[in-house]
Formats: sequence, C-alpha cells, structure tokens
Amino acid sequence: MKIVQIIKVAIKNIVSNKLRSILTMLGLMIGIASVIVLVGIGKGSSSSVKNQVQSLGTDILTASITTSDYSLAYEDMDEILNLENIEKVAPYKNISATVSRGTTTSSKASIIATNDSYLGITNVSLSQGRSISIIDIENKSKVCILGSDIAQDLFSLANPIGETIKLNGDNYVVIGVLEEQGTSMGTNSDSSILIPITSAKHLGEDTSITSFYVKVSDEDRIDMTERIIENYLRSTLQVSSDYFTVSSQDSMLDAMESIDDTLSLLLGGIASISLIVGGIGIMNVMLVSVTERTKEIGIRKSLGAKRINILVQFLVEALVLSLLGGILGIAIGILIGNGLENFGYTFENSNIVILISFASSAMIGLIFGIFPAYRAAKLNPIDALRQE
Amino acid sequence: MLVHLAHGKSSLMNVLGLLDVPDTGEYVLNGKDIGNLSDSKLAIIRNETIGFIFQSFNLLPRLTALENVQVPLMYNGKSGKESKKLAYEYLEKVGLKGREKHLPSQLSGGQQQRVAIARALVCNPEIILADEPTGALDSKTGMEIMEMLKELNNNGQTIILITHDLNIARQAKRCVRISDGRLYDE
Repeated sequence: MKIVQIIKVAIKNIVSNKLRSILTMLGLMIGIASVIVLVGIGKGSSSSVKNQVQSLGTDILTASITTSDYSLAYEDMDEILNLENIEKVAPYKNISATVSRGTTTSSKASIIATNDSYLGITNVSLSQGRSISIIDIENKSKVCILGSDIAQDLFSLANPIGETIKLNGDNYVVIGVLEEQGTSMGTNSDSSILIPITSAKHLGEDTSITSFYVKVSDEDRIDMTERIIENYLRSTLQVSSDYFTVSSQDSMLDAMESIDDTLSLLLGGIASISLIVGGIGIMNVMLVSVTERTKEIGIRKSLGAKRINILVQFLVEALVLSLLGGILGIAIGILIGNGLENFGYTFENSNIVILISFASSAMIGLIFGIFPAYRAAKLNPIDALRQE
Repeated sequence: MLVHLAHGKSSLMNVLGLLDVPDTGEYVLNGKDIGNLSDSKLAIIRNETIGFIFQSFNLLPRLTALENVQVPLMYNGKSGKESKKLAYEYLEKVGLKGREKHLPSQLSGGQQQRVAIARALVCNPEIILADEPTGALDSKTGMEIMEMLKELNNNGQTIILITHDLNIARQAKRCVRISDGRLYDE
C-alpha cells in the first residue's frame, strides 16, 4: 500500500470521528502550545534582561548598602575614586516626587539624584542641553535633566531647555533632556528626572548615599576592584559583607543565567508532563479505535492486508493525530505569545523550539501509537471477522 | 459444498481461506504446502489467489462501493489511479454502474453482495470462496446472486460455495457434503 493512500485512509478515519479526534488532539495541543508560550516568554524576558545588563557595560560595578542603618557620605565618593583601578564613581538615590509645569496637573515621577559621572557610566546620552556639573553639585543647584517621555509630556514639541518645572512645588531649571532609552535595569530612564545629588535635600531627603556605580579603568581587573571596594566598605562602615553587595554585570549575568537554566528546566519538566498526558490520551483513543474496528481489521486481513499494513495504518493514524495536534499547538502557542506582547511581555519565538515541539509530537505519536497498532496487527483474522 | 449447520463448515471455510491454520493435517494449495507459511506470505495468497464472499457481505461501512472494491488492490501494490480504474470496471461488471459513490448503508442487500463480489473478483483470484452468499438475502435477490456466480463459473472461475440450502447446493457442478466433521463426496 502506498504511503499516500495510507495517509488518506488515516485522515478519513480521523475526520469521520471529528469530536473524538479534536478532544484527543486537545491534550497535545495544550501541551505544545504551553511549551511554545512558556519557553518563548522565558527566553524573551531573559534576553531583554541580558540586553539591559549588557547595555550598562561590563566595566561597571554596582554597590549598594542593604541595611538602612548604614550609609556613606558624599565625600566618601572621592575616597572611592582614589582607590585602585577606578575611573568614575556615581552615587545615586531614587526619590519619588510630584512633577508639574505651570498649570499642568502634577504627577508622580521617579527622581534620580546623582552626580556628573552618572550619564557617562550608565551610557545614557543627552539629546539636548548639558549634564549636571560639579558646580551644580557644590551649589546644590535646583537644576534637572528630563527623561525623554517626561520632556514629551511636559513640553510636547517646545524646547524645554532653560524652562522651569516644579518638583514637589519647588522650581527647577531644565538643563538637559535624555535620549530615548527604553527600560534599563528595571528603571525606565525615559520617565525619570535626574537632579544633582546634593539637591536631594530640597526634596526632603538627606544626602547620605546607599548605592553607587563604579566604572573601572581596566576591565580585566574588575574582580580585584570588586574586592577592593568590598574591603573599603567593610572598613569604612565597620560591618561585615552581609550588609552590602558589590556586583559586576558579569556576575549578575551569571546569576541570571543560572536562574534562567533552572527556570527552563522547570518549564521543560512541566511541559513534558503535559505532553506525556497528551500522549496517553492518544494511546487511549487508539486502543478504543482498535477495539471498535476489530471487524474492519478482520475484513482487511481477509482481503490481503499483512500485519505490517495494519500496523502502519494505525501508527500513521496516531502520527497524523499527534502531528496535527502539534502543529495546531505550535500555531496557538505563537498566537498567544504574540498576544501577550501587548500586555508587556517579551515573547521570543525560536525555530529550534518549534522544531523540537514538532519532533516531540511526532515522537509521542510514535511511542504512544505503537502499542495500539501492534495490538491491531496481531489480531487473528478469524477472531476479528467474527466480531460484530 | 453442502453442509449441515454447525458441522464444521466455517472451520473448513476459514482453513481454505487461509484465515485459520489446521490443527492437524496439511493444506496443499496449488501444489504449495501452506501449513508453515509466514503471516505475510499467507496475506499475499489471500490477496492474489482467493476472493471472499461472506454471508454478511463484510463491506467496510465508511468506505464507498468504489473504495471497498479498491481495498484489495491497494494491498496488491496498485496505485490509486490504477485501482480506481479497475474498481469502476468490476462494479460495472456486477451491474452497479452509477452506484460507485454510494456507502454500503445506501445500498440494498443484493447490491451490497454485488459490491462484495466485485471486490472478490477484482484481483483475479483463482478461487472464490463464498460462505452462504445468499443467506442474508431474500429468495429473489438470492437467485440473482446465484445466477451471477453461475455465470462466473461457466466462464471458468472456480467457486467454492458453502451452504446448508439444498436448492442452492443442487446448482453446483460438484457437491461435497459435510456431516459431523466428515466429508462425503456425492
């Protein structure tokens, strides 16, 4: 029997039992679709995080003091700058404040209080105006740099440079506007406002520093620098290293990758369980089908069907069922994944995952189809014919 | 072959049709001992040498008349096109032209048995094995089917017909009686 004919017979049998076939495929469809969605979302989020981390550069160290009882003074930054292999230091404080301009209604915005090195370290550039200067910091000037979204909101098309906005009711002069960045390291610089670190005082904050970025001069010695900073913090704060963290982008990447790996393994495990459940569904239906069609098997045998013909026929039927379920599952998974992008998830579809999903649905068809097919094939023709 | 009910006719039919293997003794078909042939060899003989006609027709209910006749051809390795052509031809021979696309459920008993006859003939078998071919039909239709089988026989087709009906047995050229599992030539 030619393979085209076998496939035609299989499709005919599947179509003639529409509801049952669809229900059978549903299990596998859901399994495959969830693999596609889960892996796609996982990959998407990990690669967007990776991009953020890498956009900061691999020559950056991030330090934060994790207990509120301890902090550094602004002057300590100069000491850190004098440590070995350090090019720039930028302290930063996240403050929340209300922003308004003229008569516009005020809204909450995240303020980053920092110094003149911040833009250079975080790789953010200005689209217009100037950066925070040392003089601004010394004078505790009420100046600010706007993120692109905020500038757009407050000024739309007008030039914001030299204009004043109100932060918590206080007037600040806009000295610069940031280029559009997108989300970076969990903070969106497009909707942030930068002010001199010393001006945080005006917003009701002290000038103590709990977090700062460091840019090293020699990237190859970043691990050593990390330890130097740790030593400095330990001796300055007189606390153990449990109270602060110093991390490089590399170590953050490593940590994220290991989380990713665990997550992928977990997702893969869940998905493979659902695939096995789908496979058992297919086996179940195929066994029912063999029982129902015992007579047909007997007739076919009397007409000259060999064992292998019957085996192949049932196997192909299981395979067509599982592949159809797999293909539909892939399509639904991609649809759902793309739909989720509208809700702020990053969905990354990869051909390899599609290929693996396709291959595993074929495998499932084969593995769970072989037993029913074998049972059908070894039926004795007269017993099968006698069945009503 | 005239057989009283429950005297072993089905067993004999199954053995003759290679659907069952005899417990003892040997079966030589066309000079070949088929006692120790493999399943696939038996299937080939069933396909090429024997054509079955059953009392209950045994058509595949989800296939059309045409597709039913095509089934043995497909196991014979014929292409879809070739088998279709042959199936049309044989359905015409049994007087079912125009009914090719009907499902068995849309055909009368006599018509279904004709499809079965076409299916039995389509591979050009040396022997037709007919097990009570008129048993499920009314007497008029049964006559028609018998006429068709007799005509085939007159054209040189070997037919082994199993029945318990004396009127039908009388129409055969040679009659063998089975009683209590024993054969009596008459």
